[in-house]
Amino acid sequence: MSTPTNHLGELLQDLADDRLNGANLARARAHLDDCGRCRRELEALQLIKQTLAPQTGHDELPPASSAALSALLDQEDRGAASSQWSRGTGSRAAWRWALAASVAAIFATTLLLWHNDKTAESDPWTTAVAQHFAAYRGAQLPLAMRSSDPAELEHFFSEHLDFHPRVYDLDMMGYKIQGGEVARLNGRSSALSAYLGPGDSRLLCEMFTGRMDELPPAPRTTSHNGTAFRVYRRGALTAVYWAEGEVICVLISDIDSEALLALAFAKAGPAV
Amino acid sequence: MTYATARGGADRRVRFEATALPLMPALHKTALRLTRDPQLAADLVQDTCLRAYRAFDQFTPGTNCRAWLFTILYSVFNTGYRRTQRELTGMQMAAFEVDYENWLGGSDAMPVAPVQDAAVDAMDPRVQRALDALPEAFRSAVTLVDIGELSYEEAATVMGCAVGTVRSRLSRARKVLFAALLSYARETGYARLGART
Repeated sequence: MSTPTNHLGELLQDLADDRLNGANLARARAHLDDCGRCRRELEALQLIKQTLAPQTGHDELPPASSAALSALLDQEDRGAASSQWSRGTGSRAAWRWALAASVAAIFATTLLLWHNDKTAESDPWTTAVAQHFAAYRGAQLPLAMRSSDPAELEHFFSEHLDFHPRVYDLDMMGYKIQGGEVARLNGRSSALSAYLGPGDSRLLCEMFTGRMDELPPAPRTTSHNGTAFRVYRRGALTAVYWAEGEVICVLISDIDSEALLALAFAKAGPAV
Repeated sequence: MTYATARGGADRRVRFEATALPLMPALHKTALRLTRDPQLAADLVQDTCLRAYRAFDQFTPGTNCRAWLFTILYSVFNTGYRRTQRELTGMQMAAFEVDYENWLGGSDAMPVAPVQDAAVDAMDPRVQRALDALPEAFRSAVTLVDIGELSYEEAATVMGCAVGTVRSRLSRARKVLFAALLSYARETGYARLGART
């Protein structure tokens, strides 16, 4: 006999998802006969499933999509055939090639993602940073240095770069360092630090030598504590730039723009 | 990344077309649901297909290709297609769940499922907004199981968690989404009368 404190619980969800059979199914059905609350909850579950489920009638790709996919694979085959790369020239060289291949692959994908974004041509900096972010999000960005220690990463960068970038500790803001990489950014070396934050959110910080006036005009500029910031958008991504002496810093992520700007505000300025 | 040109691109193409391409309609259905735009959905499927093709040498034959493709689709979607929206906090999630429990124990009528735009298979924008606002872990569970129509086991593979975790996240996410529907129904009087049992 059912009581108000003895409902189906998880069994009800399994029933709604057709995951019950045998004794559990019989038990659930018997309970439903006597329990209005569980019947009501089952109806609620079915309603939300119905609301979310794709409608029928899309069981085939549109003909144009099928043709486009086929053409895409043809194009990829042709491109891959002309981009064979040598192997076995030492682990460091191979690793460099792997990075280049990853970035090249992401470049093509990113072009598809943002093929309508005309600003890509006029802003190679953000385009390149966004490619790195897409690679990081897609788990295709090799990090040469895996470390959660900012000091260790700074030491790594100092050994591989002719400038001394800072590595921000964003742990207090919920972003943990995953590692770093010496990347290429519009022809220059860049200190790339990768972060993982709440809800699997990702964040990249890159630093490279340059001047802010090399960047294209920004759709949004702002300042905080005497530091000027430029904010650019690429699809769902936001990139925030500022200068620290002769080094340009950029944070890029798909988190809320204001949250990213707040992180930049918090970290910009002279090292302490 | 591994390019298979040296190992026979033609063979890889044949294997890809036999294994992955038959699953593209399922990806397209989900893409349409996620993007609410036929052109964006087509772009999303193409991006997913391209990335899958490039990484196809890393796919182990005999394992679940559907789950593997959905992992890529979901990653691509989150990277470049999803509308960025502030996520619900834990307290907001809890408030929705309390609302759901109160409705369950009360006498309010059942809300009516929103009318959907069949042309683009778009879900109601209010439900879509509620879905977009779910924290990532919960949104993943709903997207993969209720929209992608993956099994709990497949979703667990994609999400890299236990099946029980999928079940638990799905349960909480559905309560929040139902509470969002309730809120909409209360605003509009859009409820089915006499549904109390």
